[in-house]
Amino acid sequence: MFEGFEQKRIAASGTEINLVIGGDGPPVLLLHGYPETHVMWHKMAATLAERYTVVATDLRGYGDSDKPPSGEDHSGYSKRAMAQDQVEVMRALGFDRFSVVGHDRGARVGHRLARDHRDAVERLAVLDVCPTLHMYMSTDMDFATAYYHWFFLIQPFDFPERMIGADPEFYLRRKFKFIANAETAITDEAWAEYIRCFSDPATIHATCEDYRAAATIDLEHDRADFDQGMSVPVLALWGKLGVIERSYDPLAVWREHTSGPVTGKSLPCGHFIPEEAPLEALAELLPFLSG
Amino acid sequence: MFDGFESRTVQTSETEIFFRMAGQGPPVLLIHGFPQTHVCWHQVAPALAERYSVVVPDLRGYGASGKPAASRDHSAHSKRAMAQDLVEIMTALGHTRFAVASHDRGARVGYRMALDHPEKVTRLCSLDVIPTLNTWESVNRDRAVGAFHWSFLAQPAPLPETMIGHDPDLFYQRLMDSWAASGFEFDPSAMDAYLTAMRNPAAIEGTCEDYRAGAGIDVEHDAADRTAGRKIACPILFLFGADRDVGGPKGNSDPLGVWREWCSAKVTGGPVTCGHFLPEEAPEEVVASLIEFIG
Repeated sequence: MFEGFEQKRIAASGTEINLVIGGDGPPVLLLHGYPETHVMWHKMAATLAERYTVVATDLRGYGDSDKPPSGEDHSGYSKRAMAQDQVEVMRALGFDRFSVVGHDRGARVGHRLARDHRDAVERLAVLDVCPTLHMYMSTDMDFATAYYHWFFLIQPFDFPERMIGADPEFYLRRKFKFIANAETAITDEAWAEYIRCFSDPATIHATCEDYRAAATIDLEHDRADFDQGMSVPVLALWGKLGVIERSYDPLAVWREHTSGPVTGKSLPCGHFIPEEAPLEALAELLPFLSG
Repeated sequence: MFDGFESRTVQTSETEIFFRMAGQGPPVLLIHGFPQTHVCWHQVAPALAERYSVVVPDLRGYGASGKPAASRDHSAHSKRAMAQDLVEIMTALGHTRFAVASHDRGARVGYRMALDHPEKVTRLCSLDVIPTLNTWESVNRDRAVGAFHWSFLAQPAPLPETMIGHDPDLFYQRLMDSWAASGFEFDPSAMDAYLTAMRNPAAIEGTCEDYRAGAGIDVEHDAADRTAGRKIACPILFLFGADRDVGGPKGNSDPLGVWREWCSAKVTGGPVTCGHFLPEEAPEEVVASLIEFIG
């Protein structure tokens, strides 16, 4: 995985971030989701690196990045704090302006990054998400049961931590059955990395804090600047077999958030697009990134 | 607890039901909820037994009653099947018509019984529950957070069973503590009985199946009754906890109105100053209200 890429750790003001970097060309930042690491991009990174300088990081709290304390108000894992890390990392690598491709939690960080650092983001691709505020506010029976983890992981410390921590591998394995039978798309090598990282109690706690922040402080941030739309071009891709397809009109929802062009489509897969349908995703991403 | 009560186990057409009984007079069936057993009535049942024939069972899947295998459509744990068990034990005891007082999941069994067996149920008391269909229809972010166990327990097997099974006491005690009013302490021997019962893997599975049915077939049964215009024909007494932090019917702007949609007879009741566990947090008020309601 990631042949020819270089692994680095870069100190941001809030924490230290693990990443791999490779390729040549304009910079593209890849942000993974839950419960994964930067490894989730391993089927797409080499192709992207033919045309772009690819930076794939571990979000704070995830993978081999550090796990700073969260604080009572969960601000340590607000998408604002998580986005700040990424801007600082890119700046340290010499990139003041770049495109962002985010999946799942990484797309939420990407969305916040594009709002908080408007000059930094050239283009934004969001994979299998609608904005957090929109999804939470339209909660119904279908969403509550399909996304039960949004309601389970935010229960008070340390209830979900202990329930997951008793057998992280069982929990993780079930997660990859989420929506479609994505387990077959996860290679043995990637799985070994995910389970290695997720077996750390600090990761389990930090990732719960990511969701607790999403249910509280992130919503405050989202409400506060909802009216100040972005102008960045957005590509939205989502799994045809999942909740985004079933419950939302993602292009219309993202158009409420940006005055830039919004394009995208569903892909023939479940939630884990970069591992289930990497070629289909690249077919959409490459023309989008080249503008 | 339950001094002077007789313990029995009766075979029903699909499983066997454990219950305690005592007293003389008009028959009253008391149905417990999750994650409890008949023991939740330990203060209410003796007081009622002074004037009624009180029958206090464990639901199928719970406590000392049978644990039928899960069925693909979860019908084995539908409220319809659970109600059928209890109608059969009451019939076996010679009680052709009886009043029902019910809490939590038991109240879902209670109202299903009143809809499916209108000739049996003379009066229905629901403690802290509105119908399942209305509960799901009113789900929003706050309610889904407060009642996260509805969506968690309804996840496909064996996700919740396995995660709970690592430490059942953690899961069930945390839920019970979070639903009671702050400061309330359960009777230690009652809590011990609940936790002991829930350490049985078959009870963990049975209760998950109860919630899977509650996210599927029970909703279908409710919707079919609503569509057909079927209503509960007996009077309803609805009491709910006013001091509950999360979840529960108190968040509904007009919980009594919800029951009036489902009932062609009189609906009375209102809030009680306690949390979710009315039979244990406010036993005297529950007893007094039931005596007035049943007569």
